[in-house]
Amino acid sequence: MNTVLRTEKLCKSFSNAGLQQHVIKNLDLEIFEGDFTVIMGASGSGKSTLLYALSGMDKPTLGKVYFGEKEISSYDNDRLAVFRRDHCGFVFQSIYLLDNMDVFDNIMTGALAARKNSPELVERIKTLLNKVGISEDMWKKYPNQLSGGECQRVGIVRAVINDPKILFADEPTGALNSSSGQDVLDIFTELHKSGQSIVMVTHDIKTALRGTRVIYLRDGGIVGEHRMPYYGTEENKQRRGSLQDFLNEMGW
Amino acid sequence: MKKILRLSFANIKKHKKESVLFLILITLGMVLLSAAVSAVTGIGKITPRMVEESGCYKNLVSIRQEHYSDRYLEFLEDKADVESFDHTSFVTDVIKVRTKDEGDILADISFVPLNGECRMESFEPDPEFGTAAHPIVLASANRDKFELSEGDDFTIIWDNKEFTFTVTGFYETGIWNYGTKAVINEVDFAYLENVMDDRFEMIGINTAAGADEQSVLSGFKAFAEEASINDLSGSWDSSAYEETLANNNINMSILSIITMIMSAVIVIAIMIMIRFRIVSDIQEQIVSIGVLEAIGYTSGQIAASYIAEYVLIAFTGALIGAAPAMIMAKGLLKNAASSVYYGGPLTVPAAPVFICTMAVIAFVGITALSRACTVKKYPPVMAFRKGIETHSFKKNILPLAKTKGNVHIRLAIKALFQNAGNHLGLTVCIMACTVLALTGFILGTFFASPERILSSVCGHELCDIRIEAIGDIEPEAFAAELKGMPGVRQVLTPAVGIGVKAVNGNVGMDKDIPLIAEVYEDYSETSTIILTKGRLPEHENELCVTVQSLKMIIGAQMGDTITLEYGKVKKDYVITGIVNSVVNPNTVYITKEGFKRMNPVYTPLAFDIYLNEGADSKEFAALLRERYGKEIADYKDDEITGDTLEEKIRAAADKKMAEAMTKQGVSYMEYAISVGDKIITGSTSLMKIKTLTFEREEVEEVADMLLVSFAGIAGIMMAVSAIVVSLILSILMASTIRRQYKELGIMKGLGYTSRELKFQLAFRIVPVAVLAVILGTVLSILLIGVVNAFVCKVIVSASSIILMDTAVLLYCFICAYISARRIKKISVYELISE
Repeated sequence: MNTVLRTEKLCKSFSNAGLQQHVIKNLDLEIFEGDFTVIMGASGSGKSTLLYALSGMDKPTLGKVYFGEKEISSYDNDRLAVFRRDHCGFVFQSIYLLDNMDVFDNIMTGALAARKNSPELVERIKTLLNKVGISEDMWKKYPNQLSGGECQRVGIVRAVINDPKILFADEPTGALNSSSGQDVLDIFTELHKSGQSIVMVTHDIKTALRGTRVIYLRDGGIVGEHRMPYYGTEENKQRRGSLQDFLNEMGW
Repeated sequence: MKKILRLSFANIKKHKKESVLFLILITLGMVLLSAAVSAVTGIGKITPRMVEESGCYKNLVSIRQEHYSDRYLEFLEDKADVESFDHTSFVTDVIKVRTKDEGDILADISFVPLNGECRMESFEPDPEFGTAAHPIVLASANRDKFELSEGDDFTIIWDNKEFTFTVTGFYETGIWNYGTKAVINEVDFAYLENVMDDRFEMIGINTAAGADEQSVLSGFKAFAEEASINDLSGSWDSSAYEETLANNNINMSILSIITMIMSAVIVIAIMIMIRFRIVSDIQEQIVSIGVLEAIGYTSGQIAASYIAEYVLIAFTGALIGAAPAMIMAKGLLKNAASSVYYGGPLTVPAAPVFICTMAVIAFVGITALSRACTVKKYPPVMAFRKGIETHSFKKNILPLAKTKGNVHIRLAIKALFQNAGNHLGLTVCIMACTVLALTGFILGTFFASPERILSSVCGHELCDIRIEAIGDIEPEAFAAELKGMPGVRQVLTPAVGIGVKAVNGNVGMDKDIPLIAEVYEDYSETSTIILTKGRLPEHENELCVTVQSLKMIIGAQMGDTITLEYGKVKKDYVITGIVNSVVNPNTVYITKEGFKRMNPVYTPLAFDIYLNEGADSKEFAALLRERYGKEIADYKDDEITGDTLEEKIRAAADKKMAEAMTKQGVSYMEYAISVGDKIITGSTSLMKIKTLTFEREEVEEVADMLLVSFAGIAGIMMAVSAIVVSLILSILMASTIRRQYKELGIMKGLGYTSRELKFQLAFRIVPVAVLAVILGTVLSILLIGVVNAFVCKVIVSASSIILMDTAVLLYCFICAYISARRIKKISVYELISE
């Protein structure tokens, strides 16, 4: 498998009241093309921090992050923005739709950051919205007029509208109810099956089951890794069992 | 209450920097406003205090001595309305005073004999007065001006003569010739009376309670004119106490009123900003408000916390600002008092400071209340939905699906319209700042320039040199000759200070009103007169009036006809324009032909010469003397000297001719003197200048103290408005951009670069700022118009407006840019979660 993202001795520290808090310590990691990588760990283990460092949302304190052969950790903020626009998609736990824009414009805002408007783009948005179950009558609605699940589905469409090389997701079902969460996860599975590389942070086993590779973090470092076949290619019970064993071993 | 205060303190703590800036702003606004109001209140008491402390007469009449007779006083002796009166002689002139560093300063000094001043005021000389040689007691204002102390020499220089007094003391004068008076002994006074030309008799009158002062003075003049069988208008000057009081108060209040206007604008700007900021705060914290409501806080308590936040800041400002307000009020009062040369004790009224401070706190509270109440509109669920009702479908302005050109411009315009309310608030705030900056700058630069102030308060630009001609000159030809001289910009032939009166029977008048006529040959050439409204007179039946004389002629308006009287001749004139002149308030402007209707033999003999910028008036005066001879007084008063007999004879002949011209009104003389076989001839052809004065320089010197204090306050005013504007704009821009951090963070996360986001922000702020600056400029011009109408004509240059507008716009962008820098500096994650 091709490596899309790679880190070398990645470190991230935060200064808190004069004290340095080392969240990620000398972390080496490779993210492979077509993989659905799930990052797990206890609270405060550095999952989200790692995700933001990998995606160019935040700069590492030390170490390097490579996208292919390019070292993105040396990019300035504007180059990182271009990198995110051209290669990444993001789905957040808090969704972060723009409150003052309707559903369609929220997606268009993401799309127009990378390309010019065209009838094909508009058609693609409509197709994707229909695909994630956002019917036409909701396209003119504002985020506060949608349920959390609906918002997150819009967020996913916004994340994938530019055909990102990697889709990053930070606890995408964390703020949703079980049913909405399942719907959102189904969308992720569909995307993965269509070849989308995904890196997702979660602390939920059900969510993690959708992945093909689970990385376990503790104290800012990787302490274990678990591989699984594509979701739906094996018995769910068996899949859950093997993941559970891995997590038990990790001290989950 | 504790709960509310806790919320308020939490809010203040959250926006520590902005709260401190707010505190500074409110303190500044309160200090300025309360100090100005306190000063204006205190100013009204200065003139009565001068009268009370000096024991001087309230109503004053000065008559040129050559026209005075003790017989006039019979009127006052018989009049029941007159409680008491007395009189004294005095001589006055603008003379040179030798300074300690052997330089000369021009000063307007009125010399009064000791016994006269003792009658006119409750004046008591120091014991040294009786023992010193040539003692002099000066008005205390001159102590600082000439850096004098008791025992110093006080040397005056005039017409090539010198006289040295010994300073024996200083005193606070009353209201007649305040600040310029000098008390000398009778012997020295007799000498000065002989050698100085401007000799007067001052009559002080106190009327009985309830008597009409103006009619007593008019009756007195009518009686005197009848007794002397002369028109005394040209040598009679009277001022009723009420008039003096009103004029003094206007003159003293100018700066305080302007400070009051400025501080009112500051306070209004602060109020607008409070409204804007509370709305922004509520929108920013709406989810938190929902949470507070959900856990049991009532919307009233939350609203009260916002009100308490601003009232707390205002109250702290009041505590900090009380002492500076009193100090500033004292400064303003002192400044005002110095303009009437009063140096006595001043009491700053504390009540206006207290009332203004309380009023500002109340206004802050009411303003906060009016906006904070919007919290009630958001029950928890709606607050969680960020204030938007569940089923409200806002119209999508500029949908992105229809984007054709630049997406950043579309996004910026979209945001501009979608947040129209906020942007409107921002427009109003920037507009208020523009008004403040512009008026502060315009008034500041205006009052910092002595030339501009003098032009404005005089109603016309002061000339560089004024010549009073003598002898057989043809005014038009002489003026044309002067105009043709190198360095001359303009020559006008005014007749200044002719006493006329608007007679009873005019619109709304029930008595005669004394006025001063200024007569010019052709007003199309008088570009130096500052017209407020209408046009200058063109025809013989037209005139212009000052705002102040218009007020005196009750009910008269532009287009009305008024009847003037001069030397028993009455003529009607139509008012065509209005001039603002604080110094010459009771003036009417008539054409030469117009004045000739009342005085057919009138010939202008004064020539105002305006030089090109940079031309040296002293050099030009030397040229004038070379061409037209020295001043007539110099010929008259010079010692007869010369190296040869012929020179001595010529000097003696010149002296005789000068005396004949000044005393007997001779217009031309020739002489031929035979000495042995030689005949010495000469004529008055080189004696055309009666007097030559450097008018602007003299007025500037005389008004020196006043101008310095004006310039000082102007500087403070500019600095304060600059501080206030920069504080308001920085708070505004910071809070405007901070509110958008989350949105900007999301956009940054989606791949918009910092530069693209800054471009979008700029594109949102540019139209708002430009519109606000345009509106603010219009408002400022209207405000300056108010100052023009009620205070004095302020000259506004287009370049200063453009300069200030550009500065405000630039400052807006700099503040916005500095706040927007954070977008670049911090990561998306931090930005979103701010």
